[in-house]
Amino acid sequence: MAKKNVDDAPMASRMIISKGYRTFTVINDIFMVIICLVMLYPFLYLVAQSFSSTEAIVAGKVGIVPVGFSVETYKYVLTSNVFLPDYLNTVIYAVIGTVSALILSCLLAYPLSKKELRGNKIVGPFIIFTMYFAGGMIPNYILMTSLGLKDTVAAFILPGVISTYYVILMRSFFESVPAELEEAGEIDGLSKFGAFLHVALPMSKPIIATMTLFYLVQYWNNWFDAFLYLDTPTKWPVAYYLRTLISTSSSSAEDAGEAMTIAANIKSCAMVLTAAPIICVYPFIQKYFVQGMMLGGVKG
Amino acid sequence: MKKRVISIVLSTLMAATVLAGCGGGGSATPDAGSSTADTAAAPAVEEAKPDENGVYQADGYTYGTKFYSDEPVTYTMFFNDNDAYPIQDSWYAEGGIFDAITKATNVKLDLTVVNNADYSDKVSLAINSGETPMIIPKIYDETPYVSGGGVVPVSDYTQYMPNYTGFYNDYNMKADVDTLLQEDGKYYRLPGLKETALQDYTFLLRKDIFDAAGYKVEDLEKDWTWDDFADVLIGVKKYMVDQGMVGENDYIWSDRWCGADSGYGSGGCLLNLISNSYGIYTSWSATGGRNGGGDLYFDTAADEFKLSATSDAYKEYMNVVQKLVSNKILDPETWSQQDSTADNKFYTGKTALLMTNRAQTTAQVEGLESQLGKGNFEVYRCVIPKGTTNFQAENSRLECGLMVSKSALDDLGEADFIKMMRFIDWLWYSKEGLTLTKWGIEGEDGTYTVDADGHYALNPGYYCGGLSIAQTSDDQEDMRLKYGFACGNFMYSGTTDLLTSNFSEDLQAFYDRQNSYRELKPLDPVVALSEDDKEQMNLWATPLFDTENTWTLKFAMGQADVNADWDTYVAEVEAQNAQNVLDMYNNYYKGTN
Repeated sequence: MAKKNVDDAPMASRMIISKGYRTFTVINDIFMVIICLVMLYPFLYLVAQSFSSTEAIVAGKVGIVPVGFSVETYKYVLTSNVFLPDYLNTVIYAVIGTVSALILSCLLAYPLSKKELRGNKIVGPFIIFTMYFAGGMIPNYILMTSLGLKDTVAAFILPGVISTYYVILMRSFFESVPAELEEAGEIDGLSKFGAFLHVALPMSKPIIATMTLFYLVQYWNNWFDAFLYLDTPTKWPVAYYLRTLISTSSSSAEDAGEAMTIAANIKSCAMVLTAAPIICVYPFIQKYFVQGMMLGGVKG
Repeated sequence: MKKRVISIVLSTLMAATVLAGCGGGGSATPDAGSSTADTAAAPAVEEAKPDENGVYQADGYTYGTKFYSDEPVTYTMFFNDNDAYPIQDSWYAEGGIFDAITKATNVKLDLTVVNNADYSDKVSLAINSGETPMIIPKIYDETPYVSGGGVVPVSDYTQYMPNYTGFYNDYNMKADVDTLLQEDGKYYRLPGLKETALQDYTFLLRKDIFDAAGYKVEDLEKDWTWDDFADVLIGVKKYMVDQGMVGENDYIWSDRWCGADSGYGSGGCLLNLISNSYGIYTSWSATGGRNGGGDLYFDTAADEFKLSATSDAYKEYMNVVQKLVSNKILDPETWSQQDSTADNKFYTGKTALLMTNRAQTTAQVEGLESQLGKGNFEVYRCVIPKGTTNFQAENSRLECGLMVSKSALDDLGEADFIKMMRFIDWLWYSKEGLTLTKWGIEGEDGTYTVDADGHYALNPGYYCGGLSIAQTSDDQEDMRLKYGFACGNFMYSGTTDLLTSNFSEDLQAFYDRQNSYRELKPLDPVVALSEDDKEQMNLWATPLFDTENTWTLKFAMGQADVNADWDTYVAEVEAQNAQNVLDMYNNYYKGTN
């Protein structure tokens, strides 16, 4: 019978947990619960408002539980001739935008991760340069107009399709993929692109998942490019619709008298419906998200 | 060596960038110049003589009391889309406003639709990038766009606008329109022209409570001052406390248009109303226009401009505000809350009055009905109290207006540009055009009819929230929501008859009282600063107004005492280049700049 080696015992079982540490853990847990509640409260309040009657909201009776429960607001919002079409626009823009962004970002980040590639040291700084010195809103607007892209879906998707910061994160991740594996693939007959496609990419699921979430959220929440470039209301994404709902104040003092107050339950309902898909997706991507951020960040 | 190469490359890049920038500017300047020269050199358009119906004939179109293009024509236009009545496909369809405009004029409007909240930003962006539609309606302040050359000096073309000039002459609008003059003696916005200034903002009182407390507002409002008004409210509060309607520490007045949504950190509409009755400008009336001199009022006796913030009138007016706050009448949350919060307090009976205007009254009454029940309350639109003057706050007969982009002139050429100006003249200034955009299509099959006495009425199938014409049956449609008539992009101008043609008896009675009890303040003299001085004025005025606003809100919230802290306050205000602002303005006024 082998002698049990005390050195193999788990570290935790040997750790003496002091009273102070236990107290700290309890306080820490309570603090985190409070933080969670503070974070959750606004969302619960929104959900409660969206299911409450206007009268109850006006009377200030609604907290985190709906008062005068009603799904009429959801019916109203979902049957309005603006919300669902805009929602569909957002889904289309987010899917096309995210897929395009992932493809193009990967194609840019992977070569940048190869230090031996000629010209890498020249191209890299040019890309990073754009992080610090952007063209500015008016030049971009003129560019889009001159290219004939104004009021087209491309004007909404193209500006966000390459994010320098995300490309740098991806490059760092690709740098961590062992070169030996790609070389092995090449020995087995893969081309450079094949090595990228069949070796590097499958090993980069965490960063791709993270970038998927980042780009998805970016396109999902983007209202500003719609404001800048999309003139036709039927092309607007739901985030812009939401902005117009929330921003009940007018653009000038003289015009304030005409600004109407949108019912709070309609605003809440639209916000809940708009945020719901991202909230649903996040838990499934979270493990990749943490992993991808750590790796990309540390190696960068 | 490596560093030297990098520095040479960077220097070359920088030089190339600068030269490229110069090149672009160089080419732009001659373009602008040449287009001006072209304009000047273009043959003058021969003015036609009107026929017996006042109708002119020009090349390819008729205009005057009517505009009609022989050939279909399209003009691009910004459109301010309001959340309360968002643009619909039905507006373009048969019976809609744009279809009606096309049928009447053979002109199609190609719209760039922008949400109300983003409108001024989008207009600014488009003008600064030179990519703007031809017609830019619903503009309150054109000054920021003048120096860039993106908009046309419309005053150069008013001779081609018979309806505009007719109204201008018939109602002596010169003094009003002169307030728009820029340094070059031209104006760049075609303003809405009104026969008379109508005081839009006032208070909606719970008349049932005031009556029960023993205050007959109908008798008091004629001569009441703000001090009297405060005393009345103290009495009303006492009654409400005695009846158990509110507690001793509750406020009975918590207002809208003053806080987060539209107060702009300066006290919003309420302080504007009160200060104007003391002959000075604060808040809303101090923020816009007048070349940055928004806070300056004209002292007729001294024949010079003075600073509102350090005047005796300011002290008096702020004493009234402090009286209201210290007696727990006026809720200090007024200056920070959202408008809907103020509305909710009023609807639930926690407060006894709320500011209103023509666009909001119907919604406010509906809000009260939803909480208190129909028939359980009575409201009254009262005349605003007096300060040291008997003036009402609104004295301008101008409304927001429209600008015309320079690219329209460049793209169309002068003759077609003048044609467009005549279309604008008809749609925005003729009685027919204004009636169309306000009331829709006349006749049994249309949206409205006019009786023998000239009274307008919507047809039975319609109501219109925007015209304060309430719904009376479930099968009615809102004319504005359905067809787009009565929207804010077109109807700014008109005679008093037309402007008040939709007023209810109650509203008409209010204006009768208002016009009989109060006076219009004479317009201040016009001061048009040069571009450089405008810039300098902005540099001085911004911190000056910030200081004033900070102190004004401190006083209004009861955090500082206007009497005890007066010297400190005045010293702080004066330290922000107040004298420089005054000197510049007065020098311009006296022509000694």
